[in-house]
Amino acid sequence: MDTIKLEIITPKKIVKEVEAESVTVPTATGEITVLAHHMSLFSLLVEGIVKIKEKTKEEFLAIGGGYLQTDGDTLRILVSRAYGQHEIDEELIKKAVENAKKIIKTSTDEKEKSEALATLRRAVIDTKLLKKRRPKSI
Amino acid sequence: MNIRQVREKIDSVKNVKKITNAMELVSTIKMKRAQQVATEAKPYQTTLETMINELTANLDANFSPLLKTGEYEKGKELVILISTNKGLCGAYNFNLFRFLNKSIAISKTDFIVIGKKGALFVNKMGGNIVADFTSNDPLSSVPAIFDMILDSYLAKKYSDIAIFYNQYVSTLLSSPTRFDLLPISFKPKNAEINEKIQEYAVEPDPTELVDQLLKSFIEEKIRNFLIQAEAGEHSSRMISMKNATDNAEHVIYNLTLLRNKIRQEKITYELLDMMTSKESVEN
Repeated sequence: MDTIKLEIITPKKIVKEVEAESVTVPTATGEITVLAHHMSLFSLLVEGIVKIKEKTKEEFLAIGGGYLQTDGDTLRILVSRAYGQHEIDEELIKKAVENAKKIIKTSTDEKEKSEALATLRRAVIDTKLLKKRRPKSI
Repeated sequence: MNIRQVREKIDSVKNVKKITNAMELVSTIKMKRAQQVATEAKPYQTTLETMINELTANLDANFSPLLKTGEYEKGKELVILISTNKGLCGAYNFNLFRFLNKSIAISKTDFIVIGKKGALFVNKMGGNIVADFTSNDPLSSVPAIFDMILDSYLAKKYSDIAIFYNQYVSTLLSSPTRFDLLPISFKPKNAEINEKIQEYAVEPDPTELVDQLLKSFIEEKIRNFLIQAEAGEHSSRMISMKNATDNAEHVIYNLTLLRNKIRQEKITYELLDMMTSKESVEN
């Protein structure tokens, strides 16, 4: 199977640079899967989970919002953040969720509330990511 | 000066030298870290810029309020000033402030300041500070700064938003720079990209996507400038601390000479005393 060159870039660093068979990403209009020789495309990405299928393994990454650009040979994903399953701590997420819920209930400050909502949204994606099976060889 | 005073002076200069030496080492490490952050952030910026260039090539310049259009009214200006929190970094802040003073009328401009030194300077010069984002980790406040300038720009409070910072040129040199954040002006694109762009399918809708891209672009620029300013601050401090250490060594050398001279003088006088008293007794 042909592969497409995948680059996932965040403001902090290049997270991933691999040859992938298929990449599934959440865009603003719904989830799409990009294979090699995909038509040239620009798209807006939303928070969610990216599924990367390489020759021998599958991997999941949680991403923040960003952009996707492909010309069929390379696929560039520009996102605010991206991290894998091993970078998430379940305990920390639980704590963050509790905190955020408390703030949403009690706080009157709009800014604080929207921040807490964002944390909650992120936490939901993180837990989804954790529930995906761990990367293993196919 | 007597010999005790000279000895005390030597001791205190030695202490100063130790401190400046330590500060130099700390700044070296911090500078290297800031440089590393800057290099790691580079791919994101360049990719973002190429994306925007390719996308905006076949779009009308009038579709986004963020882009510079031919006719627009010149109104009040908002300036973001990036300076340092701490002193002891040579002429770093001073050069920036002098450049700022030359470029704009400070008392007629609104400011967002990042860094204590800048806040003090703007205050002294009678500028109006609308927000102070001074903190030890300014990078974390980038989204907040961006939201604030975008809101006030779209509400037509300001016609221009510029950022003043020290551009990191090399370890030895930071040059004060002005960058116009809003409205955005892009270089004219060449026809080659223009042809290539036609092939792209754009989802969900080009204008929306470009709008988002432009916003990310500005935010990324602010972040980039902050990183550069930090690298510049640390390298500037490193150099001034190195100079201070060298200077302390020089002072210690001179004081040691003086101390030896005074001691020798004392011994000579004592010998003279003894000889004269001996001679007077013998006679």
